[in-house]
Amino acid sequence: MIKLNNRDYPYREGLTVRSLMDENGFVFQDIVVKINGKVVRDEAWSSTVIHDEDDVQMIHIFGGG
Amino acid sequence: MVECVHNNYRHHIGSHEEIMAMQAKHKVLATYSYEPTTIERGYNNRTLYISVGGEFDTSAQDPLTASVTGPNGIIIGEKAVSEDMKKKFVGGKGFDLYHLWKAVKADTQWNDACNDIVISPGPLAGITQYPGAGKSLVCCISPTTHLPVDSNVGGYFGPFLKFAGFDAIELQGKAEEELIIVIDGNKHTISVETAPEEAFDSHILGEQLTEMYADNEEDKPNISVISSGRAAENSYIGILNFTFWDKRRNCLRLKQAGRGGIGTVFRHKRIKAVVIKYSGTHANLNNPVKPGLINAAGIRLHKEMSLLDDRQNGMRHIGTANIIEVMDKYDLLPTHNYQYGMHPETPKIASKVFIEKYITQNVPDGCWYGCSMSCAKAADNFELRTGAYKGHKVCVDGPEYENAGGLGSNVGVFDPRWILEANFYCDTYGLDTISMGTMTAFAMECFQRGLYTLDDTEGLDMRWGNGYTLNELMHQMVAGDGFGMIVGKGIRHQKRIFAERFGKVAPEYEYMLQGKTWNAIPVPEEKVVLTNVINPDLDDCKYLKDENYDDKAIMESIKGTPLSNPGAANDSAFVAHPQRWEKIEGIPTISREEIADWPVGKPYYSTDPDCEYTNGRPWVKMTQEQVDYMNKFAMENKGLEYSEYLMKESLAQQGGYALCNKGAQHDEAWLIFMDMVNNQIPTFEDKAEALHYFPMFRTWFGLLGLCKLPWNDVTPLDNKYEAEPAKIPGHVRNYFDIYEGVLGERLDEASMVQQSERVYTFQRCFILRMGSGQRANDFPPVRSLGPITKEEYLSREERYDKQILDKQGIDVSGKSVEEKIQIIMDYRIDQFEQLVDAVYLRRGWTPNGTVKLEKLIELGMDIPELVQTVRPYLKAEGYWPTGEEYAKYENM
Repeated sequence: MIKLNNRDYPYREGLTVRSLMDENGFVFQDIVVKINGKVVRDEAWSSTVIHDEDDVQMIHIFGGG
Repeated sequence: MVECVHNNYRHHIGSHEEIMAMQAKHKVLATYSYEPTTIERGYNNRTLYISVGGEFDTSAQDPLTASVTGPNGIIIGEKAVSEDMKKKFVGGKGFDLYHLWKAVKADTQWNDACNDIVISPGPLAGITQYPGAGKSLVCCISPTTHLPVDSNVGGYFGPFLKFAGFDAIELQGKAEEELIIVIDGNKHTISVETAPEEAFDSHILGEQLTEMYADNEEDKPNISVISSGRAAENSYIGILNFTFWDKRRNCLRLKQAGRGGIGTVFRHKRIKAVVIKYSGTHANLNNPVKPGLINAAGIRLHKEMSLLDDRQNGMRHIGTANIIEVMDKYDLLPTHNYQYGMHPETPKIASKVFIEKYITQNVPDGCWYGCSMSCAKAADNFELRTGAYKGHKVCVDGPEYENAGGLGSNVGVFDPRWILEANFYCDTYGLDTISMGTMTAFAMECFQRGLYTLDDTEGLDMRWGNGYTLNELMHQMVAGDGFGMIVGKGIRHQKRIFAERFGKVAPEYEYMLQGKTWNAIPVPEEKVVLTNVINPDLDDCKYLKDENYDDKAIMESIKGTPLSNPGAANDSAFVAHPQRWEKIEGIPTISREEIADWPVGKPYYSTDPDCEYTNGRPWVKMTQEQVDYMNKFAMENKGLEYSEYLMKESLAQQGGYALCNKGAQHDEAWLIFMDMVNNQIPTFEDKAEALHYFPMFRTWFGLLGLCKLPWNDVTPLDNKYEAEPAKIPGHVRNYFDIYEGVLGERLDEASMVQQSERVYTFQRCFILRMGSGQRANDFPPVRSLGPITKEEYLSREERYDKQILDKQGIDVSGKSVEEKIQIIMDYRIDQFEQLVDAVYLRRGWTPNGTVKLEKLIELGMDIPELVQTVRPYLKAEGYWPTGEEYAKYENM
């Protein structure tokens, strides 16, 4: 199990930042990704593997109209 | 250069000679010459005051320091802006509310002559080095809410007003004939003139007046016009259009002060337009103290726009409409009157459709000089299919996101052509696109749930997706007749009118109709009937097949009436048809006062002046059960229609809407992603803090004359490393810089928020004074809190079932949908009430929503007007403080 935005989320081997975003339909262009408090840069989303019990934050920087 | 722009409506405007002949018909009623000033640190230190006529009490207003008078009560004059006024109210919306408070009384109605339209640009407005610095804020008492409403707007008028020598303009009184006001900021003259021959609709009137008052073609960008439109007169949702001349397109552009019916007030005063002329705009007219700070901040943001916009929001290509498909993906696009948040046909109205087919690209579409965000997009050469300008090829300002949501998905219209057509007509007729969309969505749902029928609409088909109907309603508002006259009054009035008119005849009263035939009045001419306007192919999305809607039965019922034969080539098309029914003799006519005691189900007619729409179908009151049912999905708060975001899955945003001072607008707080997606504010205290900070922070834009969009519609590269990235701290620091650059003082976050909190608190007290501002007024329609129909629950059944188990600990196995709706809604209503408790506490209000005296003192807003307003409420609630330090407030 991992935490995704402070909610429990099932872990599976090989889960990457990008695949996690795809699974959750996170298509917004301006998202800050942090794993265990450390920022993951955009260009590393596809290659960054998420480990069991990681605390993942995908913060959408969207403040509305 | 822009290519292929063939906006061809100019023949309607008239030639230069014809326009000069119009001007020759003007009669100048009053002229005023004023002394020029030099702007110091963003302020002229004076307000322009104009009464267009009539008699009313002005004793509470600030005195005029100079003035002239004309016939019929016309006054042009000046008022001083004091240091205390600047300190407490800053400018913009603050100045507006300051003047409005003094102009009106607690029982002032929107159509009283003393109602005051106040327009103020704010001390930072007019700088050209930083994007988004041309905003004006407009306030008056609203026809829909009966409360002070505020609306922000771009265009050149606000900066020109300041450069002409004024920090604000007040428009009061009621004229005896159609007038225009002309301000020449270079010659320092103001005139009030009759204008009998100019058009009323904004895209024509604006061009006529620009042509009339510009010295030549090169001078046209130095003119800005405020106007409304014909539909504003017959509705309660009128807007003000603020113009700017688009040199690249060689045509006029319109920006809107949209919310709350300000244009209706404007037209009620019989002001046709306000024209301002100023030449000589340059970057430092505010006479800033430290221009270098402004320049540096501007360069930083321009670089971000250039580097990042294409990969972030694409504001330069499509403006705010970039989020249409984003909202759909996150289940937030309001669909079918906020029942759902997505729709399979959304790709038809996705931003790329507008970019590729309609919106002219590669044009610097800023609505004030220096705005590199340039989001004021437009569709050129758009050919209209209905209405007064059918066949014209016009420039449509938009669509903005709200237009696509309100005039599109929320009414089930997924044809971009109908959206653009409605967008155009809303603007030029003077209607608020948001209210138009939301109140049409409500009316459509009432129709489709069987609360009224085609007999009540003269055959106007009110089903989802009918873009023709959407536009026809507006044409009816212009004509001053038809079902559009009811819809145009807004949801709060619709609810009352529907409840009084659209009930079913009870069996015991059927005798009143027996033996009588409703006689169709001959139709003078057939209207054009479009075909294939409704095509909701929803087979791939079963839950959207609303169970209570039976399209087949509706079509059959139409065929059984004379309305089924409108003369169209295609008899499967059912759209507006001007069939009218004569009154039935023998049914009594009663007054408005008698309606309350009239029996449910018994036919009657009324003399209600709100019902200009004289369809002869007898009025019948609804049962209370029907009324309660209808009110659940009537999406208004405090009388203002909701804007276009689905809020029901975000508790924080439910509060953002319902606790908004002016009614259900999202400009105070947009917290859906922080709450629903990011889960950054999980506790009531977290949500309350966000519902304190963001409304105060966002209020600040409206005090200073700034646009919100450059704050967070592009974000710095290093924003991700900030401790609170949602606040876009790098851009907040930019605001500290440009504030210091113009005014010479450095703000920090606390002092910035306090500036806003003073005005925000003033506005809360203002709405209390006008009869709102209590806890009951902040309660929203229950649809905003969650699923209230089977269709809504089933659309997210798995999610809701899980929520009930996880949050309430209830296993819903074996329970009916109705039972599950009751369980989840009881919980959500309780959650909302707990949120309100937390927010009131954070804001320094009582549990009933009254601002505490201690909060007024803390903010330095313990002024007599506010103390006197809150005192009786605080005493009644038991929150009036005791102790010697409060003694002076007893008799203040």
